[in-house]
Amino acid sequence: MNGRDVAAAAHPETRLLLVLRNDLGLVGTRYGCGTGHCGSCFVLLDGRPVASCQLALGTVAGRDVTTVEGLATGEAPHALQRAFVEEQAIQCGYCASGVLISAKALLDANPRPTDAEIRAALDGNLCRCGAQTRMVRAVRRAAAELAR
Amino acid sequence: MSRIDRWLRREPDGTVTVLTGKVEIGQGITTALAQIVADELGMPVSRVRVAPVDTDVSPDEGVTSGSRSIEESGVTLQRVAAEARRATLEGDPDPFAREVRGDGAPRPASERTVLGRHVPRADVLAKVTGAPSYVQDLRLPGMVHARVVRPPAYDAALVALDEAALRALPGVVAVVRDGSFAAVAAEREEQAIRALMEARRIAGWEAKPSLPATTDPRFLLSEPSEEIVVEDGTVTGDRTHGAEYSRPFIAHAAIAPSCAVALLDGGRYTVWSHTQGPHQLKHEIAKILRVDPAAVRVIHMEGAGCYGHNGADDAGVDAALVARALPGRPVRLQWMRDDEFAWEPYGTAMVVRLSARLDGERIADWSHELWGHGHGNRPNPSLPKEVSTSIAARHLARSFTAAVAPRPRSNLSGGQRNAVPYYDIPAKRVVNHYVPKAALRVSSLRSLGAHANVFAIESFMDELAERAGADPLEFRLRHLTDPRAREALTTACAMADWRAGERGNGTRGRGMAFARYKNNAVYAAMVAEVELRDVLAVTRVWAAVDAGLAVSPDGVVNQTEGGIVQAVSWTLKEAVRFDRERVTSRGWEDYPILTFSETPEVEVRLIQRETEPPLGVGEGLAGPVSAAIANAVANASGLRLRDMPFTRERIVAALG
Repeated sequence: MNGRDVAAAAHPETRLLLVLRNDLGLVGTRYGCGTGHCGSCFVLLDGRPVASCQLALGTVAGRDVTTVEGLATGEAPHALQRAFVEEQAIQCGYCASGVLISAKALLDANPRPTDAEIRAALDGNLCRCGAQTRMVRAVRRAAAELAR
Repeated sequence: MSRIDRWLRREPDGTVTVLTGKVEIGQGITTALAQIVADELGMPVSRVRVAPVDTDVSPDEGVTSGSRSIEESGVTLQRVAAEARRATLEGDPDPFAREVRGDGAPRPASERTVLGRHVPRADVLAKVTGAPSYVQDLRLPGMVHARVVRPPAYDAALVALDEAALRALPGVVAVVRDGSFAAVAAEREEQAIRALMEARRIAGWEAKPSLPATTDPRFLLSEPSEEIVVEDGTVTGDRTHGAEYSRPFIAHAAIAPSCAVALLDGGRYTVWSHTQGPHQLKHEIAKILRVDPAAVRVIHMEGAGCYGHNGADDAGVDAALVARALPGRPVRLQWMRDDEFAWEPYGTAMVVRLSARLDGERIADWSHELWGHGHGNRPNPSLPKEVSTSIAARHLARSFTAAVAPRPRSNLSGGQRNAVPYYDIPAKRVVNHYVPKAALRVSSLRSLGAHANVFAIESFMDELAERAGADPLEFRLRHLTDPRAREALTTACAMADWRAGERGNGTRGRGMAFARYKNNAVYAAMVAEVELRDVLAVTRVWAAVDAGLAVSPDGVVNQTEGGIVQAVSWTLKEAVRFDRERVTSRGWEDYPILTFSETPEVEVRLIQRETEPPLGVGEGLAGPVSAAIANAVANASGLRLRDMPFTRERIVAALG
């Protein structure tokens, strides 16, 4: 979990989302629908964005999980997080964690995405406030910074 | 009179705490209010903190709604801060203890250093790094997790529930049953969810069909209604053109289902809630639990963006009802996604019928008739004692009468908002057919009636322009004398490089729209570009807004962009589905909203007016967006869409 070995005592069928939030104190991963449709609860599982509301705890044992809290290096926020601040790319911010996880997976695989590729990579994330245009701009900014 | 420290407190470390009755709902209000106070006191914004609303200490400034927070709390704080500054300059050793006189004179624009400048929101870093930020994230020692077992349909009564079977499930600490209200609480969240699923499986309900046979908003035309003459101009029988427009029930569809944490301790309830009206919710909880309002304290914590009255208040009531059964233990009550979709109060469906007579180049008279339910059905301490707006209240054994979404109090409110066109027309007749008995639960959704009214008016303006043989920009300007309205419109058209008489190419086209929200607030004008592919796509939007003094310019632009994108979603995709018994929109698959790939490029220009009063901005865009899209489709293809949403099925049907 975010580069550390962690243990959690819960029924193996318990959704990872609830274990993150209620047992591991990682509340940055958020509940939006519980059906895998909104992206608010995305985490990286072995580098791929997945809905943690759909993952049973038993299936993630021994695997690498990264949450939004794990994107930073120590106290230093990730370039994506800095770009979201620079672009003020949220309104309520509830969806932001999941959007950042999708964006991280995108930039890891494709460091210089086009706007259309950014949008396509974020199509699994719903934003109700309408901050999409700012978020796309922030991902573009982060990509440029990481390329320097 | 009150002292200055009713609003502003100086802390021992020299910082200032602002007490406001307005709450943060993702609109950035705390930053804007801090800017106002910092500027007036001559302090850095970073030394001013806006406290979350707490009914034990914060002033009651009504509900955070109607884009009024800057106009109300902002202006109050500016005046109070001006008095604090004056007291300081006069050498008062304790300036914040002075009585407020009500004669504070804010600094002139030339002395301002923070107001109207870009100040980044201080909360963004925490929110993008996963720090606890929302009531959903609150974790208290000994906290239990609760779920409500809502009926499967609006009018279903709970006739059987094996409570013992539920209590026997792992971790369950309480099963609350009061009439048709039922809830479960458990030590762990997954245990509460499991108990909920089991309760849904075993509960016996009796439902009866009560909903309209059709989702077509025209069912409203045959419902009993009260006729309210909004504007009584004389309209002749001679009509050049008439048309009818509609919008369906629309959901707030907050990205986070509603949540609250409640604790009964020492005979007093504390409820943490993302309500827009903490003081109003306090009285609502006291009413439903039949306790003294002094025995209830509501503390605001942020939730996801709400865009009006969603399930927030109901979740607060639900949590308190469960907390009553578990004294001493904090109860975190989280609605499920399907609870939110099925039970939130929607924005009402509406039908608008317009007609007008042209006299040469100008509109000679105009008729606007609208049909719809009420809006603004929030917790309200002035309602009769046995009447409540909350869902739980109508399910309790000793039940409350469900409040009816009220008749508009004025032309600024409810369905009548923006029903009177802002244009200079010699005779206007405007009639509201208010339908009190609501088919679905309704309350306030961002912009209230202004959405459908402006959609209709601005679509009709294009239709009339065409009949007058005029360009839509030129035709609007003919009927607009307000210079700020003209500037907003011409600015948006200049941004888009609008060419007089421009025509689409069959699949691609552009259209414009304008409105002044409530006819007295923000000016918003825009041009939208659409493309008819296998579905209708909105590709670009150029918008100009004049919100007077924009306290936090990037905040205004952010709200404007968000308002545009959300309204694109309403217009293209959204309608609450239901059958005769129940709402059938229960998840995102039944209620799709705009995706990233479907989001248009949005360019916003702010017309900053440093010497004009600030105007709220969050709600002014919805109506113009829907009309600009409809006008762009007509411009592209000749197809006139008058019934939202503009789905593929609708367009195919309209093409015949």
